[in-house]
Amino acid sequence: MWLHLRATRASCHLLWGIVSLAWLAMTAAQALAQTTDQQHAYFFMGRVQYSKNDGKDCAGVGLNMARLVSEVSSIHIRDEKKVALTDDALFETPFLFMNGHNDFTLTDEELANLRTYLQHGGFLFGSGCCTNPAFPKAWRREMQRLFSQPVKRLEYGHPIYECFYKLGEIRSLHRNTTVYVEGLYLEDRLVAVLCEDGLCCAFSADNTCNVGRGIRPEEGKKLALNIAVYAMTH
Amino acid sequence: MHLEFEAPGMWLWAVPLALAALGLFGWSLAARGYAIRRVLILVALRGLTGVLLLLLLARPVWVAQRDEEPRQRKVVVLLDRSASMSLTEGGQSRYGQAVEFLRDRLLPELKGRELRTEAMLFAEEAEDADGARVSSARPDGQQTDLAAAIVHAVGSRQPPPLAIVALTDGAVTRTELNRRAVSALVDNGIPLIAVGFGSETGSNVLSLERIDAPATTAAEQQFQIAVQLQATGQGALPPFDLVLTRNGLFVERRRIEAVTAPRYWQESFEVTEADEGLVSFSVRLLPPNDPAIVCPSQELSAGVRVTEERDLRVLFVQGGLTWDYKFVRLAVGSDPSIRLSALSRSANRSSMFQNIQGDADLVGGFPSSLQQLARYRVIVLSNLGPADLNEAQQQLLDRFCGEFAGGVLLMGGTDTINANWQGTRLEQLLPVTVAPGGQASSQAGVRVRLTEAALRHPVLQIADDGNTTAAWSRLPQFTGFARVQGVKPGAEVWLEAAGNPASRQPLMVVQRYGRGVSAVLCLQNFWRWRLAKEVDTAQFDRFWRQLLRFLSEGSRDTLWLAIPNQPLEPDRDLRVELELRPDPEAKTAGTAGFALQVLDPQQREVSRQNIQLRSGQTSELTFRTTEAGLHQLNVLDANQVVRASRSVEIRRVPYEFINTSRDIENLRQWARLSGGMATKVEDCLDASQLVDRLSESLEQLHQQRPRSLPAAVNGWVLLCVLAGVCGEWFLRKRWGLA
Repeated sequence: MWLHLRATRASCHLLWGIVSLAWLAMTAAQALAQTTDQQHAYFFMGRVQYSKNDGKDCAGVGLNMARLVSEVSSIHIRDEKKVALTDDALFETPFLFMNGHNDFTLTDEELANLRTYLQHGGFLFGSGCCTNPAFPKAWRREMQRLFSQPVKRLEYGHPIYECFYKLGEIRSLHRNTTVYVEGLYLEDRLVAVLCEDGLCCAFSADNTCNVGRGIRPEEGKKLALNIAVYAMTH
Repeated sequence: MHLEFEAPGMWLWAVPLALAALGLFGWSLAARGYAIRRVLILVALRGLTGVLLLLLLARPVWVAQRDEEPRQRKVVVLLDRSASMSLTEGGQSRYGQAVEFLRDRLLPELKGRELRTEAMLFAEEAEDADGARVSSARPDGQQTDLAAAIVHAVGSRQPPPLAIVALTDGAVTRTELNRRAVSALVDNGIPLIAVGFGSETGSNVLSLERIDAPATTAAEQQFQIAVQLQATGQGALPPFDLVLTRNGLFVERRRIEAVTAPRYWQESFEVTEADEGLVSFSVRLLPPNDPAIVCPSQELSAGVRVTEERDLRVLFVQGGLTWDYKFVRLAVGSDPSIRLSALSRSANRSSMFQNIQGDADLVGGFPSSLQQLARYRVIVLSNLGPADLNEAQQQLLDRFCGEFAGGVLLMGGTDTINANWQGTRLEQLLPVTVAPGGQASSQAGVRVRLTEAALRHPVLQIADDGNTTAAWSRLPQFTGFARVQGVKPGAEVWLEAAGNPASRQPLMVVQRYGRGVSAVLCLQNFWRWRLAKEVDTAQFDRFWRQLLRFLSEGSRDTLWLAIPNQPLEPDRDLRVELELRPDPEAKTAGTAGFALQVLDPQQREVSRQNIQLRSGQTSELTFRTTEAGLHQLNVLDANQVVRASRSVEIRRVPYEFINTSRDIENLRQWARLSGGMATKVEDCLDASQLVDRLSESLEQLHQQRPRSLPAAVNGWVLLCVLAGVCGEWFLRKRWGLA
């Protein structure tokens, strides 16, 4: 009987292993399909490498963002593309994402390129990683150097909170405050936004790197999607 | 000329035989007891037929009198006094050179050979002229009609001329009488001897060719007054000025720096009008300070009607969210008169389109009726396939464009323009046929090239400096394009893939579809143009604004007033098309009475015509005016209210300066046909070789046999023969004769 039990248990393990492998294979295939480098993919994010940052914080942000967009659009997507602010490839990437933990300063060349990029219609989405305040502070300072305009808080009611999901006030998980998106305007056009409350950790990593802090993942995903939709429609 | 018979012997034996046969015929009828009167009638008919046949058998001919004295025939010298002969080369006008050649070389030579000479001046008409008239005439004729001059020279003289000598630059502008002139020369054996004046490259001519301005525009909306300029000849032209006036008042002066001929380019002025009404704009060319440069057309005018209309409504429909919409919105965002609404299909392939901007008109998604769709003037379909539009929606789009003059643009790459559209209603609307299944679409990068047809089209003029080709060549490379099978007849390709001319794929194609316009833009990720680093974003923006306005042009008014393509000149019938736009709310087509009023530049009524217009049908009217200038066409309803209005410039086209180079090849053709000769004036140091040719003609005349032409072989004689035969048959039937 014991032998029978052992054999049965082994069979279950084997079966479970086969099922797991099959599931992994399917997932990998799906991921591969979506990450295929299709030149004609319509949505992809440019992951900014800037200053000393190599664009690897919160790995997977680009693909996760693209997947969020694919849920509401039938367009082709692909994985993020690393791009430096001094690269010519910057001007083939209509949507940029920039995050980090630490203070940074952009060079004059980076600023000049970024300025031209935004003037020509590009969009920049910044997010502080793990609710570290150093990055957002630096981001606001550097963005102000672009057009000599300060970054402003976008109040609820702004189209960015309603362009896809109708978002009510989002509350911070670790502070008794409301989460806002901040924006940089070029004349009357919003060209760059920042969320300092670990938005990328929420929508990309389900806050696993920022437990109990920042924004709820469900709300983070909605806000991130709204930002992407806003960038594609304004 | 007199009548002769080539076979006179026919009469000797054929006539007696014929008489005998007739007599026998008459006797046989009389013997059978028929009435004598009837017998005589039948014999007469048969006799008439017989006489005619005998005439033909005898072969009659008209014989031309042999010239008793060929030297009585004169040499006619045709001297060209058209405006192109006023051009100055080598310090003297062509006409002056021709007069000098005639006086100093040709006439002495002709006189030495005892050949009598007469002169004629010609331009659009010909006139006889003596020496004083030739010397005092000015070369200011509006057109060159060498053929008419030849016809006049041959027809007005008896005997016809010995030869015709033409002193001209060969640049003819009228050719209606060419055949008649050739016949006159050949039938009379008259050689044309031509001497060509002028240069092969022509003189420097600087001219305004065309003015473009919107027929209507909204108040407070910036628009362009554009003029096309042409510089012909060779070498550098000095700077000159263009002046823009508005209702006769100065607006702007622009300095045009030195240009190198030949060149064709555009200059444009940006204008904004605050008040409604009709405004007349004129662009005047102030000639450069060089008398050798001819400026035949120095002023052009256009009328613009400024309306209160604020919105050009455009509906942008996407198969899914893409970047194209964002960048088009950026392009038109600065234009308050363009109102862009957008729909996008959601990812779950539902039948619903989501309203991107919360436009109240699009709460229900894609418009479900023509009334709803007709609120827009342009529909842009971006990145979608047949599955995104059902049959009913495609039918709506077809009617929107074909019947209600809307504009439809389909844009996208391989995912959009592909074989899936084959056989659909929307494919009928498109100016291209899609590539069949299996024919690969292209994922390769592509650069854009402007076609010749697009070079001068206002929509594609995106550069402030007028250098359109250079502006388009600076576009970035695009990631791919959709391959089409072919371009439909009547469609125009504006953009094509740069590269091997044999394999250039159309990238942008436009066509008139019914009353509207449909277009395709087959480029993937067209937005890359605006985002690219080294481009001028204003050019991208301008292209989209101009394109959307072009697509919307048909649908502005309820009453359409159009002027078909035709020469707009005084003293000729000018066609106008009128159409009453169908009302999407109406169940049946209506009829209404209108009047077409034409006002001359002084606002005097030139003509007024009443017309009944039926909804959905085009009617054509013509009018005529004797004056050049900006005329106003108004369509008035029964209450004398202006329902449609348009300005049209009537102008005398300076045909003589379109091509100012000497056309020696044309003169050689005339010479070949007539057995004459053609030479350049610089190759004719003295006129002896010309006069030698004339002497040859004279000699031929001396030896010439009389010419004869067949006399009776014509339709009248045949008709008489038939009449005789048929008449006899008819009468025999009627009288019951066997």
